[in-house]
Amino acid sequence: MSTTGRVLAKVLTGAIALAWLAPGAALACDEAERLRLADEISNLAKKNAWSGVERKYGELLRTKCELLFEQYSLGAESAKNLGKTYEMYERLSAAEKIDPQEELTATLEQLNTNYGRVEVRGDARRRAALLREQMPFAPDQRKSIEYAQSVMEGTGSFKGMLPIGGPYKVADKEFSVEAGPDFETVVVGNGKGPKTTGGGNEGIEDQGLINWVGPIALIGTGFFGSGAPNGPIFKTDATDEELLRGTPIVGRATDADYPCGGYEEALVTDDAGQPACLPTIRQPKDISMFSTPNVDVTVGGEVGLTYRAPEMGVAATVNYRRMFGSRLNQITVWGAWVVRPGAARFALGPTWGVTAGKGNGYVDWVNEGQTEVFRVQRQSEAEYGGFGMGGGVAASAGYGVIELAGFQGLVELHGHFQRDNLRSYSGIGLRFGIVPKIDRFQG
Amino acid sequence: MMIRRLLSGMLLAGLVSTASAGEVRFTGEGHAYNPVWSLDGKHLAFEVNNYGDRSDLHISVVTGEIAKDASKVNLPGGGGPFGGSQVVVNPAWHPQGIVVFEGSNTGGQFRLYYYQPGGGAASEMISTTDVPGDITFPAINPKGTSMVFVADQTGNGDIYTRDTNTGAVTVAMKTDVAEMFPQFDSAGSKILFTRKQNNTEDIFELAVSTGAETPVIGGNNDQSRPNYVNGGIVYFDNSRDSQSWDVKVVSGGNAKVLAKSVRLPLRARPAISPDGNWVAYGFEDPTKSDSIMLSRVDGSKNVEIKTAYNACGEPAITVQNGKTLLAYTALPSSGADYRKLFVVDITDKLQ
Repeated sequence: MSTTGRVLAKVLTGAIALAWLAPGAALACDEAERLRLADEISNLAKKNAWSGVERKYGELLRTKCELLFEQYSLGAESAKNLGKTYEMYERLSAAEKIDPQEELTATLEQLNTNYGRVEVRGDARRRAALLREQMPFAPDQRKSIEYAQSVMEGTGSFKGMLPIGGPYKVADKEFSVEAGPDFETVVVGNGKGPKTTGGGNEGIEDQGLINWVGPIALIGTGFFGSGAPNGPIFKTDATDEELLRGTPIVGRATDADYPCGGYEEALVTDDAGQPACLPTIRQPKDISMFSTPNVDVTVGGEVGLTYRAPEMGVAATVNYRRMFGSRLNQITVWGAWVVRPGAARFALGPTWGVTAGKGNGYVDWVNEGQTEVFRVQRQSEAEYGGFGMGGGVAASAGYGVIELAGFQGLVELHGHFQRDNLRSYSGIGLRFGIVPKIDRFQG
Repeated sequence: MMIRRLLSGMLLAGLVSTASAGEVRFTGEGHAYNPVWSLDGKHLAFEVNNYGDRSDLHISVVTGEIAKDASKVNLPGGGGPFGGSQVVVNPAWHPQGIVVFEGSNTGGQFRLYYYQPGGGAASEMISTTDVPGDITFPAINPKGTSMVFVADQTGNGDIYTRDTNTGAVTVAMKTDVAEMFPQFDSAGSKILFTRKQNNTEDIFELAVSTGAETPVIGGNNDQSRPNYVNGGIVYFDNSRDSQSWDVKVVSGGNAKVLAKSVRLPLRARPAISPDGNWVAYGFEDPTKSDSIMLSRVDGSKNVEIKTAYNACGEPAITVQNGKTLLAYTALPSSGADYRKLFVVDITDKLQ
């Protein structure tokens, strides 16, 4: 054999030896740890600290050591005290194999008689509750059900033993438990079953950040109103010509009524205490709420962030309102916190929008022009135009009345308030459309 | 001769019956006491008291007059070969076939335990966290939706209830004196109980929903161990003579004697039939002690069940598959060391 061949042979032999030894090394029992944990379990059991016993029992299993009768027995006792009946059964069975005591056999028989095996395969993201209307009298049977309920709550699924009888209910599935060696399978939701085993604190599964997501599309009608500013809003960028006009006209018959002589000016007192007229920004007069109907179109999306009822999430929408009669249009964006208890839907959040349009008439504090210098113009003839931007708040309260192709058909009342730096805009209305449907189990 | 003719005549009239009985066998030595039937009549729980270090609870599966050998119920930690002494008494059955009883290990506190026939050890019913101290006198309402018991955590016996569906334990009555023998009525809306005060025991009724208490019957000495029957309440009374007990029925405040000088059971209430029409008892009088007597609670009829044994007492009645079964304890012979438990079919005696 050549040198290269000998080296290859040694490497190969070493690799084979390593491959043979490695699994053995991985399965090696940590005897010192086993002794320490067994001692801890024994001490905790004396204090009736069963949760602690259960935790240490789990650690004991991870030592990969063969357990003794006493350890299986204490593990069974802790499982019993925590309602983990199937785990109790398995540990007692292991103990019985080591020492087939009559009492153990009797207990196993009793478990087989009074409990049945059930596997509920559910959905970790959409968890159904396990219900039994009439709870059993025996506290350990009660604990067994309560444990299963905690596992269902934590994982959406359960595999174990439950007291015979019932009826039990998971989502819309009603079933009774019968004694026997086989697991009865109940499938709810997508029936994927748990990713983890066990339950309680060991079996908590993350439900994910998002419970539901979907579009919002609503259309409706309502009323729109806008209160005029209480006083003049002066132009900050007035031209010289406009400022020249800002001089009170005195000594003429009409001066008393129209001291500023122009419809876009307001009479003020200057710093020297003298009357002065200043140009103002033209504003529409008051738009009363119920005189201005509007059509309302809203589109957007909603994301559900919680799973426990009442489910909550956030929504973002863009809204367009067209006001009839005033040639006003409003476009807003709305970010809302959404709460959806049962069939109801409530949303509340900040809004920001642009209100634009043009029309005739101006607010009362602007003087009507009646002078020789400026042309006569009646309020109703005065035109305004432009846009305003500002933030506000909007809210809605709706109720799901129908399911539409996987969406929730909704009717809702809504209200909004917005203010730019000059005036406020508000409205109420009724709209209907679709929002995301939340998949829930009944019961 | 005269007596024999009279007895023959009574037998023909059906007023005196001789019934053969099946013995309920159990392991260990001691007196059999306080048999209590499960609600379906298929199980019979009873105490075996050696008047020494222990009183055990045994349970037998009964089919007609045939009773399987009874098995002993062990308290937690008491089942091994080195298990210490235990006192297990006062069983009461739940409709789901679970028996609740008082138990105490090696002189400790009395706590309530439960056991489902079929194997394993008993388990504690109510934790010391929920109710500390001694817990005694368990009784369960006929529907099984609530249990009543007496707890002494305040130093006096107070009445508590446990809701089966919620598991919640609630104080139903708390006073400065001792309440005992709580018992639900058939609807579960009232609790019958006794109160020991000034060396005399009287009977009261408690409305569960309101907590209102109503006196039922009082008098000299003790009126004790009440039980609901059709149209009234049956109880033991020693107001006539502190050394002898009568069976009385009270209805609307009027009490009448059903039987005088009866054998007072070790701890049981007057035994009544499941339909509430009959009450059973034995006699102190040695000449009558080979019989168990059944009386209709309205006093209209008495039926004597003659036995082949002595010192008959501790009766309990059930109906199983249409058959009326009577359990009682007796000395098999005059020189016997221990009382034994027997079951007899008395269906045709009550027609």
